[in-house]
Amino acid sequence: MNANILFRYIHELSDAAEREMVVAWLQESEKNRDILAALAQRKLSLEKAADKDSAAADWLKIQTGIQEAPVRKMFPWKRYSAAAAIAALLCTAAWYGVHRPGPVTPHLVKLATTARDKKRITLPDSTEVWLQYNSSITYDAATFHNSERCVTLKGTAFFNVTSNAAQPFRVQTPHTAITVLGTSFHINARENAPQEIAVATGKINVTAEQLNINLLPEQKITYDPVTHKTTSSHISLHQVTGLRDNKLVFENDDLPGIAAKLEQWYNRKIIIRGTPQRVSFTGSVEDNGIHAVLGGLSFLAGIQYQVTADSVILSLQSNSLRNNK
Amino acid sequence: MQPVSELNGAEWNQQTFKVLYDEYYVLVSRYCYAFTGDYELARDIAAELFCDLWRQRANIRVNANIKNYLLVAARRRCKKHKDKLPITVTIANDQLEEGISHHTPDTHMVHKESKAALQQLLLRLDPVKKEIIDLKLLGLTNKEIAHLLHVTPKKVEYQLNTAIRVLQDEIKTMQLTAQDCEIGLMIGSLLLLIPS
Repeated sequence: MNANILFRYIHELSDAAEREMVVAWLQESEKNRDILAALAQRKLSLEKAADKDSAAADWLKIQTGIQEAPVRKMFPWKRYSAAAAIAALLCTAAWYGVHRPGPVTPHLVKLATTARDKKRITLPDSTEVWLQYNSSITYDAATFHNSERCVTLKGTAFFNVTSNAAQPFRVQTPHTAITVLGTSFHINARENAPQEIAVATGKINVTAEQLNINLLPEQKITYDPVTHKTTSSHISLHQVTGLRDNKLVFENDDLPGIAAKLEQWYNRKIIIRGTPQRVSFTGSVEDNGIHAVLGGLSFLAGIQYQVTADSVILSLQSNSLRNNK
Repeated sequence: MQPVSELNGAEWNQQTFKVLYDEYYVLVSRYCYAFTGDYELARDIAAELFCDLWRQRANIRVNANIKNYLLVAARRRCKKHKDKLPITVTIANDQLEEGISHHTPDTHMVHKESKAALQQLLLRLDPVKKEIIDLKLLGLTNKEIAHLLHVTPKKVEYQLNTAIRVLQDEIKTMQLTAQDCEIGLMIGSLLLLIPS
């Protein structure tokens, strides 16, 4: 018996011919069966050492381990500077603690997400913000309750603004300004990309260079900050609220359309390989991370994918292959 | 896999490190278990390894293969531990069977016996063969194992095939001893029956 074939059998990788060989070998004698049983048992007990769940649990342990300062290797001056930094931090913290009620001091609060996490934020006026990957929102806590509620957004977010006619809510993005009273709407304000704003409920006012427009529910505008061109279109409600519901919504999208949406959603470059055949996909996919989403899509729309550090490669399974399956 | 592995450690950030962790933590823990035979200890060693990896990332430069790097590191740590506590291996076997069985008492006993026998079987191999088998069971390829143990892939394959042959021979002798026991028992019970 070739050991490689046996181990491929244990890992359930063997093809039909190899499987037959192993089965024949097993039937040869009881001791062969014992060997396989012993190996399988050993595999089980090895695998019991750790799995995905325990890895997740241990990650917390490791993170605390990581955050302890690596004292041993530090140079003395570094230690002092660290101490100084901590002292300075404490001072500022204390100073903020004392001065916070003062209305004059700007107290900027910045909340940001990375490429790996999304956040749901509740602002002091109980407005809810769903912050998409690679986005940040900044506001001045000291003046937030003044005549205007002002926040600055970079990236993509869905707002559900608490209604307050006396205090309009203003979102400042790098290229546009949006004023609302109490609505929910979606903003996509990434650098070097068309700015998109869509409304779920209520009415909003969007101003930008050469633009001043009121938007109603299920309306969407796309504004190009370079050419100042604006296009408005209709958008279905569940597409607007997709971010809030943590869903990626597709409506009759072909592969470039899907790619564009994924690109926007994850802020990664999407490359399409092979000849784009005609596919059209309607449906929504729950966002449980890029791998889960791509896995779901590959199953639903017949797409193959490959994820690299900063890009995703999508390719259509050839038709012949799919028919064969 | 992300190309984190090819970078030097100084460029790691929390995210790339997490990717690395997700990719290899399970494997490293299992490999540590293969050495220590103690689940707790294995995971402790693995966790410690990753902590140190992060702390000393500035000095780490992996030019070939991060998987190999991690496994070599794990191996060294386990060896160190083993030198400190030479008893661990013997403790391990009891713990093993404990974890696996949840049957009624009777079948439990039977299973325990047969399982112990099977476990003993692999322990009869020499350490090199045993480690190669463990690595193979963890899903490494012959080439990876060869790289890790500083031998040629041919040698790994040879060792595996020999291991199976050795196991077949071992079983033969084990069955003999088992039969001896049974005969002994039968004679014993007969002797007990005679006076009554």
